[in-house]
Amino acid sequence: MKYLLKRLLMMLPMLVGISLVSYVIMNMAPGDAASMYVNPEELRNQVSIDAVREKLQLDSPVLVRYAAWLGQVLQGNLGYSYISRQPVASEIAARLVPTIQLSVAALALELVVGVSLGIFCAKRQYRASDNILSLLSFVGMSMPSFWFGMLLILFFTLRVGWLPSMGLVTVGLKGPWHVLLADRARHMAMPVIALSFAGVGSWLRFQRASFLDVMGQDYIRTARSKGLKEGAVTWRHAFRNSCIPVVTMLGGSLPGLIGGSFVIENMFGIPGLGRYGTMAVLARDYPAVMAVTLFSSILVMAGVLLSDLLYVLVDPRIKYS
Amino acid sequence: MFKMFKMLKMLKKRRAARVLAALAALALMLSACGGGGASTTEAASTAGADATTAEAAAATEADAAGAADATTAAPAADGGGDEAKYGGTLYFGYPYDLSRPNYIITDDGPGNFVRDLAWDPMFVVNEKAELVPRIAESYDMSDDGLTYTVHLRDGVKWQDGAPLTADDVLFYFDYYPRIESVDKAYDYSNLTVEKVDELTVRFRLAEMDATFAYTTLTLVIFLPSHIWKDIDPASWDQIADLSRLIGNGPFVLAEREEGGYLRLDRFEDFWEHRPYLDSVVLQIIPDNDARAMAFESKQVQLAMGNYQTTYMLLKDNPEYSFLLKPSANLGIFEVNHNDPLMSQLPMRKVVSYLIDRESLIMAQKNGATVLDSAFTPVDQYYNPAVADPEAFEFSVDKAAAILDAEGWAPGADGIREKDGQRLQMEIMTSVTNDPNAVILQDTFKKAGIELTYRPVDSAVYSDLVYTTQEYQIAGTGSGPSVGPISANYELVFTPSPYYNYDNPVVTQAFADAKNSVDPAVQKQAFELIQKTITEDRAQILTWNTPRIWGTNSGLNVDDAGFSGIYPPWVDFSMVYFEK
Repeated sequence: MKYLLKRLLMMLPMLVGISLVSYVIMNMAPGDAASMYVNPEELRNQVSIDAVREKLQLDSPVLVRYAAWLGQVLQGNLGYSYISRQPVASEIAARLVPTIQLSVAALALELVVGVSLGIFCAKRQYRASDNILSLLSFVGMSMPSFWFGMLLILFFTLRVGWLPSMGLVTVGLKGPWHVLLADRARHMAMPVIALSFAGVGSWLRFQRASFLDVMGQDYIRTARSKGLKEGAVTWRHAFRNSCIPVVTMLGGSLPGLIGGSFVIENMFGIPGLGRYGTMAVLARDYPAVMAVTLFSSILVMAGVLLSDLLYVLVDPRIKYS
Repeated sequence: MFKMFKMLKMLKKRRAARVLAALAALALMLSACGGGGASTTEAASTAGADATTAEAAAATEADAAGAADATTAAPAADGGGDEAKYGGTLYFGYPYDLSRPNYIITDDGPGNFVRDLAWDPMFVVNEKAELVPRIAESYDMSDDGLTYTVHLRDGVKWQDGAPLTADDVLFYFDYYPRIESVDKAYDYSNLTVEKVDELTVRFRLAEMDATFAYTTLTLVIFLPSHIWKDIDPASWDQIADLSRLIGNGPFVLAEREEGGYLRLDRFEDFWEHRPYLDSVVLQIIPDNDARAMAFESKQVQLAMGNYQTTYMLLKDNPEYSFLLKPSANLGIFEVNHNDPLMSQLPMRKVVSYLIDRESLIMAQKNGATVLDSAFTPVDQYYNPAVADPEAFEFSVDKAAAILDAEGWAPGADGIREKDGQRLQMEIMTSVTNDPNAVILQDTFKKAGIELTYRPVDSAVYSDLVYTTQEYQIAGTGSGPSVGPISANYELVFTPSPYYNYDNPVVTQAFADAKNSVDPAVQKQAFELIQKTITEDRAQILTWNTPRIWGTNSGLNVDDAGFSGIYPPWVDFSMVYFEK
């Protein structure tokens, strides 16, 4: 508990540091945020630009603005979006659910399929099935998710017409919960597969290597010499130990999924955090960009912390003091 | 093969394989859920509507069942006539959501689209630049052009059932100046509005403004005073409650998922008639290719915009229909008249001669673009006959001849020089508007010019072109207009589109047009502007990209006013699915 508290406290200065660097870099980017919100016909009119700059509170030095922003954040106010003029916190909350649904489903799919296939390949090292799956995993890792997403739409929507390619729900659809659930599952199928395809390959390769490493350990030989069945050796001894490095990667993979959703959400018209962040960056919507950055930073740090805590669960030798 | 079969057989025996089998079963279950539903559609078959243009596909064919599948809850339409037109949900793919929940005065694509559905103006402008009455029945103009009396239609209701009266008109002109919004664009300080009776309003102008009828009478949409009178104008941009954002048009904004979709339902008491469609859904699909595929797969039944590739792919497919309309989407190379080279007419002519428009059109637009418009073709006084015919000519020889005459001689590497200065030019564009630099650089080099291509971020581009003006030639998307109002609703009584271009003839012509409501005077002025601008190469004109309206699933838009002078304004109450 003491360790957890210490780690949580350490996150605070790190968050401040990340937000400061992000804020300064964002403001150093070429292009005037104020001119994005001025009628193009007025762009040669400095008075109009200055009026917008004042309205958006862009007329003071960067560090002063950062301090003001941080002060508001500490009071729970993430500011108002330049584009929508709505509170950023409520906009992020609205977009969080679709992104979390997408990311968690994709991570689950990656893990189940990738780890299973990794073990399958390790048990059949250098045989045809191992080689074929290894080749496919490299294809998956090499293929950009947007490209794979396009292929999915081409086949499942255009060719066979099984799955919809836009949004998370059929607008206006009414019915019992299982109908709505099935509708959502159909909408999420392609985005989840597209988002997880590269991850499956990574997990497969990682789990395969880890499992092979464990299978070469002395205690596996001892287990076998005791007369344990192969299944017990594999699942009770090898599998659990091979998962230690996998758990390390698990926490770090969540932010990566959020990053991947930037592209996938755009492609499948999913109103998630990724798309919100993309639009905010393109429009120089500083409060929104900072909120997304802050959220992503928290996610990264939470992921790392989660990995460290999971270590204890999978490896009894590890203890934090 | 045998080895593979054996391997698969062995797989089944293994415990680990059960996990894979379970996953495959899960995937199959997901796929099995794919029957029916509203988003996917089936092939069409029945011969349908007339082709909308000569360029369009031969005929729309839509299977009644397929069309119904493309819509949600399309009610049975037994009878003939208009009854058969009722029902269905139209899905329309669009790249962006509303900028702000309060879309009433936002000037962007989604805002305009929702306003077309939820609001009705006093008048709209038809193809002949005539005002067509909507919620107003008529207007009278005084001889001096300073007083307009507008007679509102009786029976027009707000979407909460309250009647629309002259009080709402007066309220709007009182409320608008106090609104605090980044969208606010109009200045009514020279306008006085009086109520004559419940359905008559009088507008008095302090000075002549020939744009008044085309702008205030067509663009202004009033506010329901009974709702807005209690709302602080300072909080305008923050209003998100849909029950307050009601209009007087054929559809009510009923639901919004931020960044996801907007759903508008039929307004049963719309003054003109009961709208045919049950609902219209604006589905937000940011990715261009994904949006095009949503149209191709008939998940959306209406596509609008630059769908050149999709158009070329599907134009001969009888299941789709296309309408090509001239638009304000002009390809322009903006020249900076403060630049030492570009301030010289011969050098501007050189640049114009070196733009290989046909190659660029093929490379960028798949050929679905026209060359023959020097200005915005939907503007009232557009007349290509008065423009300089050489403004679109591609000729390396003519460019070289001008350079020879100007004393630019080829150097050792083929690049021309004069007084020790190499002939270098630079074209800057935003990264999203790549003019295909390779083609340009090749043709410029043939004439002995070293052309540099500078792509910049769109935010930086605006600064460099409009504010600091640090450019020589810039590729832009907007162009000159030749009428009191342009297709994108901008007033063009000033030569503002021609940056740093100073020509007294053009300035005077704009002033003449603004100070007269006589169409003959305006026509003469705008034709003079077209002639002068093209002769002077004030901008390097390239092409006009038509606006493409695509439909499928038997969607009929023939009576929806798509042919109007303002393509953005569409009477969606007349859109229906053919059964």
